Amino acid sequence: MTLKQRCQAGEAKLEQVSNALLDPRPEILDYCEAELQEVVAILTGEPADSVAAPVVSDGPVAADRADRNDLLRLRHRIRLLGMQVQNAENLCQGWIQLDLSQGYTEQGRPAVPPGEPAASFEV
Amino acid sequence: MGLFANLTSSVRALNAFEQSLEVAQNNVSNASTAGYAKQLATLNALPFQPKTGLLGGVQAGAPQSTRDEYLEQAVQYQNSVLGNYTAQAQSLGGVEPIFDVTGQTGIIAALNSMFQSFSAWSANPDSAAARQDVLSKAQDLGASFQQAASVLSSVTGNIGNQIDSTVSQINTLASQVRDYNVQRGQSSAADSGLDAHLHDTLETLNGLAGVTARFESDGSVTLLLGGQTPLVIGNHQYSLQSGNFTPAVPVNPNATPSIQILDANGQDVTGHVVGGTLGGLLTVRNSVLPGLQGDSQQAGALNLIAKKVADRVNQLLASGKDPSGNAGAPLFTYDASSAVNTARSLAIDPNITSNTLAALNPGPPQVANGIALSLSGLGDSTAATDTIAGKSILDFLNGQTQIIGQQVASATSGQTVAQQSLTQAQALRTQVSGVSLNAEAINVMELQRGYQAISKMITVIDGLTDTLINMVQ
Repeated sequence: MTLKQRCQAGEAKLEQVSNALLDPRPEILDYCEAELQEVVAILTGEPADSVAAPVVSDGPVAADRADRNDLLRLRHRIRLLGMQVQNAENLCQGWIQLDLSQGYTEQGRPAVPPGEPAASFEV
Repeated sequence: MGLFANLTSSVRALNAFEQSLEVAQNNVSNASTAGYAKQLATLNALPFQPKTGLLGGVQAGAPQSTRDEYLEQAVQYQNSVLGNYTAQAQSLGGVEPIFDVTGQTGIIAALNSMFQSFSAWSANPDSAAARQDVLSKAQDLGASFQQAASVLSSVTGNIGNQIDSTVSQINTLASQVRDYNVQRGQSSAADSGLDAHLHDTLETLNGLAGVTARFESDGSVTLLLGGQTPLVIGNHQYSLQSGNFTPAVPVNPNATPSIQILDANGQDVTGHVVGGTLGGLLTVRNSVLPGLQGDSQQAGALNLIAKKVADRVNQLLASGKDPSGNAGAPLFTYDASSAVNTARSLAIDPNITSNTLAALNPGPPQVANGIALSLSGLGDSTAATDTIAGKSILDFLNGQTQIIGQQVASATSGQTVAQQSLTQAQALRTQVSGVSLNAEAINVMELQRGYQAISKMITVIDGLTDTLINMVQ
């Protein structure tokens, strides 16, 4: 699979995930997570028929400008999806804080959720 | 237990279930009513103490709304964001063709063609055809600037009309909220129909401008623009209006004035309009367009380019000699009375002919095609006299093209994300509507965990894509 094909396949899956997330149900979110794992597999898989298909390796890979544009477009798409998910996550977090009075410090301020800091996406 | 007591108990139960059926019927009837939230019938158990004559049973309680104000506000907020980005994307869509990034049309194409004609002329300074081509391409450039100025003027006018219309819509919707307050004040109990209409109105209103709705203890709604400017308080409405604004001492007196939003007291509250269609229109009208066509304080990029090109071309030609040995005639003319009129008035000087174009640089040393050569390199020249804001003419123009392109792309991306976020919020609202708080909590917490897992996967893919981009050279 060439880099272009990888990008196209990845983008198509991201589009599917983005559309699926418009109907937020737990089983849909599980499906989306599985689809995103496939995107990772597509991007990290071994190149079959193109030297221009970079997978994680030791050095720069020769590729043309079109390949770079494909990757930039893929990154733009993933960041849009990131914003979409971040927004939904914040919505749920806000609901939990307000309706269940959870996630506040003793001083009544919103507490930072435990775990890793939330990702930020710029497009 | 007497027969009468038994009958009374049965009648209460029948009444209670009849009211439950009415609530269910109401829900079915209003399934497609905008803003309607499902009602839940409540049944209250009555005490059962036969010795004291209390025989238990049920009686109907007041119907409860399943409306979740947090999710309502989330939907309203997303509507406001979507309205803002949509207005920006649509308005900027009309401006983008002027700065055609492909260089095939618009000012970039006309400017490049003129510099190419200078280049061809420098290769053959005595050629009548080459001289005629210079005049023709200069004429095209003037027409291109005039057309660009005309498009900007037209877009400005359209946005002004849209702002007027949007302000009018906001006032109409605010009056509906005031009417709601009046009706709410006349009845002690909440009315699901009125409530549906109110929330539908608030949703539409937020699409037009960022509006905060505060529910007061008396059941009325206070409406604030941008959380500050009152639109409705109780039974009183405070209307907005739009108007032109020109500073007391304008640098460019005849420039297009900016538009401001005034509250009911005539105070400027433009800064309080932070979202919705109105916010997006004001951003383009008061920030983006003045940067291009100028306003009372600035000349605008389009006029700066037109002036720099015209002035430098004319200066270079004036320093040369035409075939008859006379000083070169100016190629361009424009209205110099105001810095904001340059682009719309740029044209070739009516007195110039191909024979009065000066190609010769008298020097010393004298160079037969010296002026034509300098003109052909003018677009890329970084000499202080040839630059705009420290950039060559073509770099400055390309910079403007990129700025517009980025603004359009940003507005379009924002529109996409806002539409998705709105749809998500609406779906979540529908999903939790009609279930108990506990069931709602379980749903939301499960969704929250799912989103967190997806968010981590996205971070992984984002990092992976970054790595690949760095590897591809």
